[in-house]
Amino acid sequence: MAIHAVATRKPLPPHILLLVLAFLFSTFSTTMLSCRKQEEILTEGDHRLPIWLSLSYHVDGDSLLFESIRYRNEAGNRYSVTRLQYYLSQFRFRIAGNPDKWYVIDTVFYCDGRRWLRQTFLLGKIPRFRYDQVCFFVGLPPEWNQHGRLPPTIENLQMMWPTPMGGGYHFLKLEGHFLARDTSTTPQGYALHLGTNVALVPICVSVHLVPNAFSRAYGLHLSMNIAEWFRNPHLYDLAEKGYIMGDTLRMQIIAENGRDVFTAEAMPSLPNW
Amino acid sequence: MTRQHLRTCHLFIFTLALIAMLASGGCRKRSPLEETGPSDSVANAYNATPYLLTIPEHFPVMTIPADNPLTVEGVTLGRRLFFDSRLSEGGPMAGHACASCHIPQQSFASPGGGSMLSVLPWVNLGWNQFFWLWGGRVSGTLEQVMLFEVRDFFQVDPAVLAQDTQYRRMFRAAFGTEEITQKRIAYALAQFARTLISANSKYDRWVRGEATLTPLEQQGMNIFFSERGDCFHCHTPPLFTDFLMHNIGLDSLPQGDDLGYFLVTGDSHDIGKFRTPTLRNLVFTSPYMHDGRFATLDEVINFYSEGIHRVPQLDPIFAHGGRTTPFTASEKAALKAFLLTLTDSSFVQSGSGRSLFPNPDARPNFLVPNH
Ligand code: HEC
Ligand code: HEC
Repeated sequence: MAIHAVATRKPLPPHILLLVLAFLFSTFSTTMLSCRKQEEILTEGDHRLPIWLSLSYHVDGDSLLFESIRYRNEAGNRYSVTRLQYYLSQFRFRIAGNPDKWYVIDTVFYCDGRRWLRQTFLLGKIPRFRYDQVCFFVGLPPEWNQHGRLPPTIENLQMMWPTPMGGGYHFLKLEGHFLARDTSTTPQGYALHLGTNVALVPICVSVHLVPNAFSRAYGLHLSMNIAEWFRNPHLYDLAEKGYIMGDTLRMQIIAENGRDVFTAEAMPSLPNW
Repeated sequence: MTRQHLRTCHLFIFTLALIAMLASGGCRKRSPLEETGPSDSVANAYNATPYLLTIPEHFPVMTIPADNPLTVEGVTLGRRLFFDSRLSEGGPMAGHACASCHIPQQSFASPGGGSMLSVLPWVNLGWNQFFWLWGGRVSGTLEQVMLFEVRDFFQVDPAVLAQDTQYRRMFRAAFGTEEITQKRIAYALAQFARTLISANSKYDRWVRGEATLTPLEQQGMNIFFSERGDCFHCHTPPLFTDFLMHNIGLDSLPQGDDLGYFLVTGDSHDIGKFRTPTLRNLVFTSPYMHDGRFATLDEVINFYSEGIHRVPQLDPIFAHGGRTTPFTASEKAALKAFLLTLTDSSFVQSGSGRSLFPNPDARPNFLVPNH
C-alpha cells in the first residue's frame, strides 16, 4: 500500500536535486563562516564573556542527602544536614601569569543547597583572559553586611542578622541533627550560624579558566565538602556546642574551618539547562 | 518508483533536514537561562483595570503569578465571593461563607474549636510561596491553596453562582468571560487576599520611626531578636513567619492531627512539624497553636520557656545550649509586651468596612454575610 502510494509521485529530476543541494550547501557554508568571523573578533581582553557558576555538595565524596543522620565527623558525631543557606560574594579572578591583575565581580549571591541541590547561575561577565585563581567570600564583605543593604526578598529577610546582635545578615546557616557519640540514641540539633564581620570566610581556589569556544562563556563549578566545616584547622565537636550564633570565638573557629570547604573545577562545556 | 528510488528520496529529505538544522542552529548562541516569556497573560485579553498594590517600604517584594494579575475587577469579585455563603451551597460546608470563619474583625480568623483546627488568619498571605495550612497540606502559590479551599473544602458549585447575572457580569469584567469555574473563583479570592496587608502595627510604626517602644517592649524585642529568645529565626520580620515547617516540641509523642506534616509526607522526620504562623494580631487570634491548646499568650511563652519536649525531630534552633535556663518572670512580661506591639488595629478595623472598601459610598449591600 505505502509503496504504491509513493510510487505515484514523480521522482525529482537529478539536475534539480543537484541544484537544490548546491544552494543549501552554500547557505550552510556562509553560516559557518560567519560564525568563525565572530569568533575572531573576540581577541583577549576585548570582550566580556559570561561566567556561569554551578554548585554542588558532598560529604567526603558522598553526595549530600538531607535529613539523614548518616555522616560522621572526626570528633565522633554522627550528623545530618537539614538546612544549608549561605551567601557567596565578591568573586575575584586572577589573570593567569599576572599575579597582580584581578578582575572583580562585586555582587552577592544567595545559595540554598536544599532548595537547589545543584544551583547554577550567571555570576556576571569577565574580560576574555585566561584565569588561574578564583577568590570569593562565604558571607558578605563589611560594605555589604549592613541592615537593609540587600534587596528585601523573602530569602534576604530570612538571612537577616538581628540588630541587637550586631546587624547585617547571616553568612551561613548550616543546621541538622546529630548523635554525640556512637552510644547516643537521642539526636540533638545543631545550628552553625555565621554572621558579623569577624566570621567572614575568605576562600581562594586554583582553577584554570578559559572560555568555552562554542558557548563563548566561562563555566566554573564549585563543590562544597560539608565535612570540612568540622575539621582543619580545628576539630569541631558538636556535642560541646551545637549553637554558635553570637559566640564570637566559635563563629571564628567555624569560619577558619570553612576556608577549604570548596574545590573548584572549570566546566568544559555548559550543562544543558 | 523502485525501492532504490525511495531510499534516495529519504536520503534527500534527511540531508535537507540536516543542512537546515545546521544552517539555523549552528551559530545560535546558547543562552543557558533562556527565559520563557510570560505566559500569555489573561489580562491582555480584555480590559480589566490593573490594581496598584502598595507594598509597605520595609516589606519584601511580592511575587504575583503572571496568570493571575491583580485587577480592580478581580479584587472586587474576590471580595464579594469571600462574603457569599452561596459558595458552600450543596457542599459539605453548606451555610458558610469564607468570612464566617475568617472574620475580618478578628484579623480574618476565629477561635475554631471542636474537631476543627484553629482558623488561620488572612494576613499578608500574598507573600507566602511555601507552605499552607497548619499541616503543610498545600505548598506553592496562594492560587494553589485557594483552589484547594474552593475544590476540596467547600466543593463550590459554579452553577449556583452562574444563576446570578451580576456574578456573570463580574466574572466577565475580571476574567474576560462569563464562564464561572472553580479555578476562576479561586483566582479571584487569591486576588482579594493579596490586598489584605497588615503593616501598621506599633512595631511597623517603630520601624518607620513614627513610634517609640516602651522600655519593656524594647527588652522583649531584644529577647525576640537574640539567641536568648531566638524567635526571629522562624517568626521573621516583617511578616513574622518564614512559611516553613518546624517541630517546636509541643508533644513528646504526637498522635493524630498532632503528627502534622508527617500526615502529608509519611516521612518520620516530619513528625510534629507545623507551618509557622504569623505573630501579627495575636490579640485577635486566641487560642494558640494548631489545636488551640494554649488559651493565652502567657501559656505560649511558658511553653517556649520550659515546656519544649526534646523530641528527635525538634527544630535545630531549639536544640541548643543557648537557653539552658527558663525565661525569668520579667523576661516573660517583656516578651509578651513585644508580641502585643504586633497588633494592627487599623487592619482589623478595615474589616468592618473602612479600607476594605476604599470608597464607602460605593459600598455595595451584598457584602453582608448571609447569616
Ligand atoms: C468553618 C470554618 C472555615 C471556613 C468557612 C473557611 N475556612 Fe479557611 N480555614 C479554616 C481553618 C480551621 C483553617 C486552618 C486549617 C488547617 O490548617 O488545616 C483555615 C485555613 C485557610 C487558609 C490557609 C491560610 C494559611 O495561612 O495557610 C486559607 C487560604 C483559607 N482557609 C481559605 C478559605 C477560603 C477561600 C474559604 C471560603 C471558600 C474558607 N477558608 C472558609 C476555617 C475555615
Ligand atoms: C523553630 C521555629 C520557631 C521558633 C524558633 C519559634 N517559633 Fe513560635 N511557632 C512556630 C511554629 C511552627 C508554630 C505553630 C506550632 C503549632 O501550632 O503546632 C509557632 C507558634 C507560635 C505562636 C502561636 C501563634 C498562633 O497564632 O497560634 C506564638 C505566639 C509563638 N509561636 C511565639 C513564639 C515566640 C515568642 C518564640 C521565641 C521565644 C517563638 N515562637 C519561636 C515556630 C517557631
